[in-house]
Amino acid sequence: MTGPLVEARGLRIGFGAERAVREVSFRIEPGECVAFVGESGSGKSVTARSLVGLAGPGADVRAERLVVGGTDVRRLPERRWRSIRGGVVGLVLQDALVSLDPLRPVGAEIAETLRRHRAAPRGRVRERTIELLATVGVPEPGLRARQRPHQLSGGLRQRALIASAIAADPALLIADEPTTALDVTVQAQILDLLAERKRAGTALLLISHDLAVVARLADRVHVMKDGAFVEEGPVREVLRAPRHPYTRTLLAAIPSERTRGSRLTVTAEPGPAAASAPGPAPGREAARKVVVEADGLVKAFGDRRAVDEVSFRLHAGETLGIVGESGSGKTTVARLVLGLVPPDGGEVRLDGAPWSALSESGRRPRRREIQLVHQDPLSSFDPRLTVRRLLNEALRDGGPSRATLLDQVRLSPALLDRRPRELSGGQRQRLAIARALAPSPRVLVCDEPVSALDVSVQAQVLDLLADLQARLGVAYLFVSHHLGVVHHLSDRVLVMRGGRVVEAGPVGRVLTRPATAYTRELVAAIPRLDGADAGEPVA
Amino acid sequence: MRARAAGARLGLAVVVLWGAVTVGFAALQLMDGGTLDLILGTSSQATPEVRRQIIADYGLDRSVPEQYATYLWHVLHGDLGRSYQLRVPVSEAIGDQLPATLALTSCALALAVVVAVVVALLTAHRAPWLRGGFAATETVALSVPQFWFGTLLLIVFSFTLRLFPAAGGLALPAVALAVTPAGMLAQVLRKGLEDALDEPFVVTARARGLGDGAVRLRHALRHALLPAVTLTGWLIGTTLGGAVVVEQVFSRPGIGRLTLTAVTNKDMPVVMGVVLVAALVYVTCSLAVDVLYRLIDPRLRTEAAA
Amino acid sequence: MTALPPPSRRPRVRAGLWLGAAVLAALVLVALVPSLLAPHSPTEADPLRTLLPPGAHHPLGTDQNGRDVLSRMVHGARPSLLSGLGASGLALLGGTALGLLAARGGRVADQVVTRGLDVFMAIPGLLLALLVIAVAGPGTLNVVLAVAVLTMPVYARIVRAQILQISRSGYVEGAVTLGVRPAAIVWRHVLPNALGPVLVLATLGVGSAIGAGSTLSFLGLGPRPPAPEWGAMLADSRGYYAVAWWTAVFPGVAITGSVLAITVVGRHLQRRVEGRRVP
Repeated sequence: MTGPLVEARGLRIGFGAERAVREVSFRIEPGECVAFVGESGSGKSVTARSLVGLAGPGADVRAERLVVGGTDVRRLPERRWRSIRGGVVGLVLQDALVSLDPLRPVGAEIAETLRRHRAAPRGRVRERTIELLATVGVPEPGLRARQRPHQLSGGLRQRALIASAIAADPALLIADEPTTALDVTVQAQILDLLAERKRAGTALLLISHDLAVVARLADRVHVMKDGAFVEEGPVREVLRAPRHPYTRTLLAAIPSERTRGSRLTVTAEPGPAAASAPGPAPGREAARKVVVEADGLVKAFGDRRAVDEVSFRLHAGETLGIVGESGSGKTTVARLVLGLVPPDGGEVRLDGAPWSALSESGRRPRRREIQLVHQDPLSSFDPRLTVRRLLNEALRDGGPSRATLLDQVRLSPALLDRRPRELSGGQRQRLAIARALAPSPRVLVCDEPVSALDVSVQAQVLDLLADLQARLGVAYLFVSHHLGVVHHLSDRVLVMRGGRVVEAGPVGRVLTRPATAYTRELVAAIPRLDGADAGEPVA
Repeated sequence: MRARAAGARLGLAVVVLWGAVTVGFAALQLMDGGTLDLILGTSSQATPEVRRQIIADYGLDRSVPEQYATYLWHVLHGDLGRSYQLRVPVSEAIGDQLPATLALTSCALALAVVVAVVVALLTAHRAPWLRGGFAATETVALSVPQFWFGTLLLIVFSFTLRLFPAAGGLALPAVALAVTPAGMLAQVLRKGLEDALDEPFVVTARARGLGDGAVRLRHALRHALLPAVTLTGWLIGTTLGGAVVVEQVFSRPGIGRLTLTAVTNKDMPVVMGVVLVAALVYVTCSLAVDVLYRLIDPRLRTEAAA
Repeated sequence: MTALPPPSRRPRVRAGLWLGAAVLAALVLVALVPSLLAPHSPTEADPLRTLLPPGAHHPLGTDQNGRDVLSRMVHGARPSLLSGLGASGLALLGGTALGLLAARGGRVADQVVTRGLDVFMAIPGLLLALLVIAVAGPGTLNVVLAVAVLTMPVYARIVRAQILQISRSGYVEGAVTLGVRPAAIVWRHVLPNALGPVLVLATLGVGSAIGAGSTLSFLGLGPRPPAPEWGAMLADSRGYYAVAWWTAVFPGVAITGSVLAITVVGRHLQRRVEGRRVP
């Protein structure tokens, strides 16, 4: 085939009156990797899906030119779309647990593509399915082909999903947030697999909110905002010398080792942005009092020890980060500290006095000292209540007033009569923080407080948390799977795996000069913005 | 592990049946007027000898726990007692009438399932007028009392058009009885289909080049069947109950007439027998449904995942 | 991010809702002041005017005893509505109490109540109602009682499930972390959130209770003749299908229309209540 694989000029997509995509143009050459980067609602997914005619029900797709694999796909009849889908363009979505039919064996999904596009002779479908699973690096492919998505680990089922998309050997593979649901080490492996497909000659269209993921794989990148490209170019140029302010904001908002002690949001104030940030004062923790002390915590669910001999101390006014992949037990530790589940062994002490050993009624008078900010703020609010009543329940005599709280988290009083559902994701998390601060706690347990947020909103919330700690001296127990976020905010860090603490210490030491193999693996797996030239697989 | 789960399910079924027997026995004890008067009926001038004879026959002179134990013992052996009115064993009375009712019920259920599956497949996520029209029809179907719908069928097809006999046929009663379960099933199936069609795996399947029909049949339908299957117990209960009324409308023989006569005459052994048989049918079907559910949803078969 | 915009919302069928609300309003009005609309007495028989087809003097005709069908239908609204409300209300009360007991009364209470409900669910609703009537005897009040017993297990199960689900929810946990007392948590968060959907269900239940009540009356187990009752009117029409269709059609229209109106309005409430809840 000569010429570009995909050429779109003046592509517009609308849903009724809403204009999701306004006038975008791009080309994808055979064998290259193009990335669309943007936050939720930017239109990147819809744009990519319009290339397979699956922009969604009710989508109105118009373009001056829209050619996929040599076919003009404007007003293409459904029947002809079907030979493009899977045959010319393969699609990989975010979470294979829901993107593969949960009731069918993964092999059947791959075989479906093979049969539909006659990519293998009838008698060889099974054989070819197993070959494909082996190609994408699934061990014991014969066994795995008969298993269902829930029986496979996150990484394996993502591989199976990729196998089903490449079964008919499409020239272009669209990967829509292919690693977002995965742990960081698994993410690295899947990115390697995609890089391998690229080396094998498949063109890639990568959709991601994560600039670092894009940096690792893409040749060219389009930054998308509100349905239009604001900047485009070779990935190295765009990341090193962004021209558009939005790209600069996005890049500045990414928390990492380098952003420690500085602000993530670009403020209007002149001067060094770091001025108002808390700045980790070295050695301050030694002088401070211990507020939470966990000693040999054990919690088992059935035969599995979710938390196994975990001990740590949290000092007044510091941030202790807990990082780990899914299933590492970090959330259970948070719930043990909050006294929401009783430990099977060990003890949590608050201010030197028993805490986990108390009965719930014994804990109640001191509950105000330790508060929670949840990953999913929506589910943590009574849906019937307004912001006003939600805050009223948390207010205490002698604590801050409602007006002070709203001011502290920078929420407008105009929102007082709304219900949580009527707030944006960022506003909800601010409300959650305001409610947690209302009883003037000394400890705030933050369980993945920013992982459901877009990077720019995440930056605002992280800056807010930093400001509040500087002003109020609250200690944070900060649970996250995101090493960059933890590195940005924490003073000290615990690395957890399989319920155990594998490494602990000051964040600068643990995450830059890891002492254990596991932490080294974790740190190495983080995709980095400067990784554009490091296409090598991670060990 | 699986054997233990199956054992637990069986145990539960036995508990439910025992509960139904107990409810029936309790109902008998709650009767006003006393069992003796019920048996004697209107012939209250029975001689003391006859009274004594009956008291001895039915064990009425024993204590309540003793009577309960005897009753349980008899039920365990398939002996549901003797009808006060018909003077025959209850199992015989029910056995005579059950086949007709089962034929009607199973015809109606089969009809309901077929109609519901077809309607749901054809209307899920389709043009608003089509989907809305069928959704409205289902709401009406659920609001129409079965006995009145049966009456309408009789008036239109038997008395006006004279297409079907007013008594004896199976078609009209089966249609009348199928209305409610068909409406309910169609609603549940369409909801299930639409939920499934909104899932990401449907996008993946379509991105593989599958057509709409294949996506519905090969992927979505199986998901939609799961919530429908859990309704089976309710469906069978409703349809059995509905059969009592529909039989009455179409003057069909069956459990309906037996039960109604028994209720009006306070012929408790028969009422209890019918209740027990219905509970048995329900419990058996629930066990079958459990197996069916596991066949459709393999996730339940392999709880211990990798 | 990957989520596509939701499928464009279907235009709500507003006309149906308004029609339902209008029918419901008419039903309530007629139940309150039947004499307003009934042209004749509902019980006065006229042997000279039996089985008259619909006409100017008798808009919906007369029955086999020469009674005006329209008047009997109008006067039948009050008992139907009252028995529907009564049965649904009784079932709601009993079901809530049982559900609360199961969810909050400890393991033993939960086991006993849940197993008991299993037994009641195993007996088909109508047979259960017949069992109640066999024990208590026929009559209006006993029909209400029977229908309440028939529907109660559903309420009990839903109340129990709601309370259990809400007790595990993030917002109850949030209240615990704030140090709110258990009684206050139940009163402020659990009950209001649990009861919303159940109340809506009870609204829908009024409709099905009217249907079930009329079925029992049709079987001759309801109020004694000559009281005007829709189900009983249909029972009376048996035997006249070939000659007087109107005696069998209009009372059924009244039942279906009432149930339908209540269902449409209740579903609307249900959607609104669900819309406020966390997805």
